Amino acid sequence: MKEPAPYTLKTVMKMVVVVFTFTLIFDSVGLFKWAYRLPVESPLRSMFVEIFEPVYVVTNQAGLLSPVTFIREGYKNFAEIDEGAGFDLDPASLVRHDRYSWLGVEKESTELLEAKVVPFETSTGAGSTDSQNTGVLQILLIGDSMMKVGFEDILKKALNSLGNVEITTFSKNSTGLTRQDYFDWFKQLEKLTTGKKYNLIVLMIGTNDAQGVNHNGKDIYYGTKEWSDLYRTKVNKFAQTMAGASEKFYWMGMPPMRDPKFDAKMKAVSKIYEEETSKFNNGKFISTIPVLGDARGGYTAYNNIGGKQVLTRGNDGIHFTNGGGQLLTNAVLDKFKSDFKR
Amino acid sequence: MLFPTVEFAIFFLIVFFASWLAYSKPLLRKYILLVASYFFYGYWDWRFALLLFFCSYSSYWFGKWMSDSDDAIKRKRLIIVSTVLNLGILGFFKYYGFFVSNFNEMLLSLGIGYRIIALEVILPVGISFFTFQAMSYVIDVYRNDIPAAKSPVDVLLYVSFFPQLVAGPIVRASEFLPQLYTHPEKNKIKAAQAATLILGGLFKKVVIANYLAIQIVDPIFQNPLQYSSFDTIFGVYAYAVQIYCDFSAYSDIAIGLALLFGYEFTINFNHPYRSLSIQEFWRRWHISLSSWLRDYLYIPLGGNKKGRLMTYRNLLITMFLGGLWHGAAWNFVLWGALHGTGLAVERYINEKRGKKEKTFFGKAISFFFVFNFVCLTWVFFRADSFSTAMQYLESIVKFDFSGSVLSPLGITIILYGIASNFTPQNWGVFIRDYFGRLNPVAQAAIFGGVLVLIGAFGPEGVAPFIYFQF
Repeated sequence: MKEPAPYTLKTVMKMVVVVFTFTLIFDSVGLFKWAYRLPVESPLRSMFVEIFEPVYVVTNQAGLLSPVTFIREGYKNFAEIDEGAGFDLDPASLVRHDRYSWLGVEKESTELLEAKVVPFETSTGAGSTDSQNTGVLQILLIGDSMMKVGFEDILKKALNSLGNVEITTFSKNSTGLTRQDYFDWFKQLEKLTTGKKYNLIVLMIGTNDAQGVNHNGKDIYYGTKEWSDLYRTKVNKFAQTMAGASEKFYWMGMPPMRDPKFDAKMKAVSKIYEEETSKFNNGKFISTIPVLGDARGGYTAYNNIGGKQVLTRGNDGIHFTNGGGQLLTNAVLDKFKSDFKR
Repeated sequence: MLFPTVEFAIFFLIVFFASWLAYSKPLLRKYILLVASYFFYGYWDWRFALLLFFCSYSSYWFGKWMSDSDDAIKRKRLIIVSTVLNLGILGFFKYYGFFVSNFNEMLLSLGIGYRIIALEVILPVGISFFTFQAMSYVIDVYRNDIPAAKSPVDVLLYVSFFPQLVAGPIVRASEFLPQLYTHPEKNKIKAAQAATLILGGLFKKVVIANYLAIQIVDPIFQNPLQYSSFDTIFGVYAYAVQIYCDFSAYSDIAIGLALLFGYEFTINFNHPYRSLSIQEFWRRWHISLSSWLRDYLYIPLGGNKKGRLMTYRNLLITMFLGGLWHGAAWNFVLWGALHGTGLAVERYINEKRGKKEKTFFGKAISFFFVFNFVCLTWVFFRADSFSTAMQYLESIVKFDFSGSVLSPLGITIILYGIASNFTPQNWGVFIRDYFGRLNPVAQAAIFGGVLVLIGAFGPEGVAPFIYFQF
């Protein structure tokens, strides 16, 4: 068979238009979600949302997205792929419905964060846990890539080595509490804790959180008081759920970061974690700055372990090597042993 | 900026049209591609764009100075300085921490209190690829295989061309530079060939490699002792398929993208797991690296021309350094050393055995041993530490076949991934040619449809390609 004939630029341009149109029609939901998830601070976000939102609304109303949705859902069920409840966001809830009333698009109920900050007096720990019947401690390890990369595995092994523990883990890269439109950690935590009580929950999250968010149709930018208030509410709500679902929960603070601007952001979110965790009797904030920082609490890639200089931070100046994960694990085990008399 | 993202699609379309619209002005076209490549690279960390520039610009000058001189000693000095410079850059950024920590540990074990300061050196993405490309240019000029480039733009673009910049293939100067000197024809764009390569690559990466990574490989390699021997055996087969699909996908997409700009690169993978010897495996796997190591390291060391023992030594050194090229860790060193030893032992056996045609049964046994040897070495390549690799092997040899967490779909994908290495070589060509004979609009509609389906089968979010870390 002959090799396919090459095409002129004009023909290739036409082909690109066909590919783009095809994708726009049948995967407008993917493009709309992509645009919506861009950083709120980016001017490109509003431009792309303006382009893809109406296309999504029209193609959705016309039922053109159904085949792909059907295939996607069918495949995930067949392949038993569970990416977490946090991804179950209905893109229709992101649409500015007032603009499309003429199409008969109805506003769907959106989940608002109405949780109030829980005062110290009313917070309570969990009631009975499974361990009271079985003697096996139930432990949940959750977080973003800070938990997943270099830490979770080592902590899990160390806890397992103590015996009589059952560990559940769920960590997801690129997620956080701010952008529920990307991954809804509140839904995920609810799924993990419904009908289940843990003796201990360990959480490490936050690297993706210092960014703006669109909340109830309004862009709220990082660095404003409005953002801090909203984030504090979210942190409190998350802590409240953990407090209710566990005997103890440890909220790990962010370690020093190589980039000074990012470090300042992480210190700011860690302060909120510390303050909100302290409102719950069964919550403990574990500062990781003394664990991984230098003598002044600043960033260092190497720490002294047993007289050896060990690389503890990843190439990005954010995540951990196995050495870093080991130091964090030691810090958790110290608290764990005193809290659970192990 | 990763290939299977909307961001990259937008970036690519802008560069594609801009470069072809500047078709009548070749230098402007090269500048457009050059700026786009630096933007692509700087998207990760713009500071390292300076390193990329230094690496390629200095190579241009070394090439020019060598070309301007007939003095053999001067040329030799220049090639030595250039090689030391490129290897020095690679060594400092990639291996400083590794060597210093090992050196300090050695001092500590000898009871010497002195320690070298362990600096934190950030590893620039793709440094192993672009330093090797820069070295390829200077060495080829030194050997008079190619003339020195007249314009620095050509060398800068050769080293930084964005489709293959961060994860290969390692394109040789003798392959790419002549194409930069000619004028690609705007009415001869090999769109069908490019489309099949890009779609095939996206399918391998998004659907197969990501599925295997998330569902099978990552959990099993995280805690191998918790799984049965059946699972750990299939876990390493799954990784064999994952790394093949992941890495060959990047190469295929890179080759396809380059084709759309009018540049042709040779294939980087050719059904590697069908190999009947370790030597054949390296002729089919990451071909651009293995041929680079052969031409610039193995043969200069003497190759197989200096006696049996020296040949074994050369094989070991080449593969040892090939392992180290992949990463500054002992598990990569061991991986390379195992392949080097395997090649040497295989060579010894073949020398003793003589050239005899293998029977079908003999070929089946050879395949079995070679495939499982390659898979065994993948354990060291994939494990995050030497101790995890040993735990993995321990889990395999405990011979516990009591249960499995693998789904029928997972096993099917693994077996399909292995079996796909045995399809006739011309199947891919047949699909490409059949696709290419369709009406261009039909081709575009199929491309769009498959693209949407790949997106539907893929996971949320985008996983980076494995070879980005090298």
